[in-house]
Amino acid sequence: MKRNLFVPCLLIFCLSLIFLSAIPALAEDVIRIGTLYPMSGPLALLGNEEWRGAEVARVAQNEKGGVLGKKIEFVKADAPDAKAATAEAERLITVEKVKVIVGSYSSSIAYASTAVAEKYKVVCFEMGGIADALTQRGFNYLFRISPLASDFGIMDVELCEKKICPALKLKPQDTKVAVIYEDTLYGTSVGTSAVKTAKARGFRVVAEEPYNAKAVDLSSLVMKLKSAQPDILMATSYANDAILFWRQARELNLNVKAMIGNGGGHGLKDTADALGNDINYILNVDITQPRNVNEKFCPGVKEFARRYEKLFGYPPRSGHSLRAYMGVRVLWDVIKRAKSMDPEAIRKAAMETDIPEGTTPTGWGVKFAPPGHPNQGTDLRAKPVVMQWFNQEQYTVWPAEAAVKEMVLPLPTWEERAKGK
Amino acid sequence: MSRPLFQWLRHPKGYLSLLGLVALILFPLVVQNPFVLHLLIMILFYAALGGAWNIIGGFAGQLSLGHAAFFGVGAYSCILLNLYTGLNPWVGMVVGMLITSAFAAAISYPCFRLRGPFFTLATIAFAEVLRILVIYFKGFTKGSVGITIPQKMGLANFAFREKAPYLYIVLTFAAGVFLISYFIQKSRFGYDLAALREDEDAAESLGVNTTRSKLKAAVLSAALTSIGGVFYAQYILFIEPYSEFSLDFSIQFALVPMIGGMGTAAGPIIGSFVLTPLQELLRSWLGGSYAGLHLVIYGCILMLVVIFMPQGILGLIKGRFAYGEKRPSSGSIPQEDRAVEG
Repeated sequence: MKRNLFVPCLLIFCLSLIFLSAIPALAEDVIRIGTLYPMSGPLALLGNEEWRGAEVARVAQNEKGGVLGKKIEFVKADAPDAKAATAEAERLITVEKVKVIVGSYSSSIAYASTAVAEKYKVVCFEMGGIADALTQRGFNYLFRISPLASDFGIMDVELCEKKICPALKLKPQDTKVAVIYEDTLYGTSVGTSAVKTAKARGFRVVAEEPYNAKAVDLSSLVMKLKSAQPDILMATSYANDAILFWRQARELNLNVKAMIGNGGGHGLKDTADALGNDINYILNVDITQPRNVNEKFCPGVKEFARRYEKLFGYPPRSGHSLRAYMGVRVLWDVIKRAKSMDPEAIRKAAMETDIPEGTTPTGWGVKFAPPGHPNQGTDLRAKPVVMQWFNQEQYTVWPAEAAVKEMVLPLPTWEERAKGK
Repeated sequence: MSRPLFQWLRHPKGYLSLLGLVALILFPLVVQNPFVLHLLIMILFYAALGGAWNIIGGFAGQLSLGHAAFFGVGAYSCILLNLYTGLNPWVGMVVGMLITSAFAAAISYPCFRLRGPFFTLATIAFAEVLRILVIYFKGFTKGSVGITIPQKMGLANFAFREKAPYLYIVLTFAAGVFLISYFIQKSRFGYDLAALREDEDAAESLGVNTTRSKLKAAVLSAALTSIGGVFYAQYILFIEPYSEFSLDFSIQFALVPMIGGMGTAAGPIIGSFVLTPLQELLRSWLGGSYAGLHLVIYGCILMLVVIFMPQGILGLIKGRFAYGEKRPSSGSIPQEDRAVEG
């Protein structure tokens, strides 16, 4: 009969594990906020970077006495993918009983977690997911502080119109534009927005090429672009594919007059380390970076960098942490005005937020789109800025009030660079 | 029919199963915590899909690492039909099953005529190709942006605000897969599969049509997997190609029966009851404080299981507490049975 005891014992063991985990760790004198980021798996690097930004904001606020007279505590959840995000959001809300969740770096993770939070009427502050569709579901408890994917595409084209075309003495209808993007949610939503905007403003779109970011050879893509002969190339890539593309572009001698990246790989120091001086003069449309930016445009950015370095031992690795820091500070402001942790009060206070541009560490203002707006809950005053690489270092070059350097156009050809221009 | 049923119920295997089933049915009435219910749903979900994989992977011994393909095809057929023609998801599920079966037959037939790891390789490639196609035809499938399923709640729309209905649906599904596996295990078809798994040439020489049996198993397994795909899509209410066709899913479906006990009806259920909570709880305990540590521990546990329990948990139980039945393990077929087959 022993045999029959084994399976039930196993079951009891597993079930008791479940119940143990269901006991919430309660502490009454603190405000508990859930943080949901990919802390393991392929997205962990930048997911962690974003969480750090939120952590800096929390530590800074606790030094000032917290909010509503209580210290703030984070309940961390690790959501490496959408499946896990559903489970972890469920756990944060029903087991840990948090009333506000901050997240989540990736759009597909945010899709899953915010749907759960909406069901339980828990407020989500999203600073990472940039896909437009995230806020097009009419959610009432979701607030997003970040430029949208489509804003990146629009910024690409505005940059062409206002800076690149005049510098190259080209008219939009004579300017040949090529758009390449990696084919997941991120690249597709930025790339298609760039194509749509470019066509609408009269540019000649000569190529639109999605590709797989895991590809080990992009030479056919480079050859296609060579035959299309674009003046301006817009790319949305992750790190490895950006490195691969640009190396093969050099090997096959693909020359364009301007190359615009859209965050991702084109904004990372790792890409610069891999490409060396080949990255110089590439433009990058991205969120505000914590360095080489005019402090007048984004007051508080230096304080952020200082606090980050104090807490983690080295300077911020990308703009992701700065964006999360800025967004979480807005959350503290909202909670203060709500005067309670009741989701309804927080929602109402969030909707009343009115922060002008040029007063936050990212330079963005905050005004959430009201109910009935197609992008309900999105911050309408967050816009990307333009960086350019000089000596393997990114400097903000546009808009003028944020710039610390003058934009250099056109992009030198490979021969000119070899000669050391 | 009633006498064997009665006998089966007197056996501990019988009444314990029945007790477990009743406990699962009553569970949502007692426990209201949605996280616990979610965990239970995922356990039953992996039990059902592990069971579906087990039909081709365990009974027939044809290792597939591309079951996410059938999973994704089922989900996408159902959701796209609903999106473009307004077809009810329940009907869409049946149509999805038919489409998936056709796909499974088309991919399996050529592979099964070959020996070696061709089937495994072909299934991996198949899932990858399907994902790329779904991304490529973005005008039709919405590509990598994914499809958000409109939140129209109700039984007719296969979407609910509460967890309990999902739990009952997935419980029915898992029980169905278990019963199918159980009858396969007892039927001539099951013996055919076991024979060809152990020795394909010997099975053929005894008159088993191996290609046909494998094909039948593959189609059945794929059809059941596609139901799982529809369930998952309706549960998360959002699908996108990178997660639907992910290798993670394929591996998990295979891992569950491997840990529980391959080629047995109960194996996937045991495997899932151990693996799924382990994974979720390790993540929620350690994920917050030590990023990535849960994966290390999970991996170590898997390795230990494979080293010390190569027959899976069920194999260990049967081996240690064997009680002198005719069929010692899931593996080989006793001589007298084979004689009957011939």
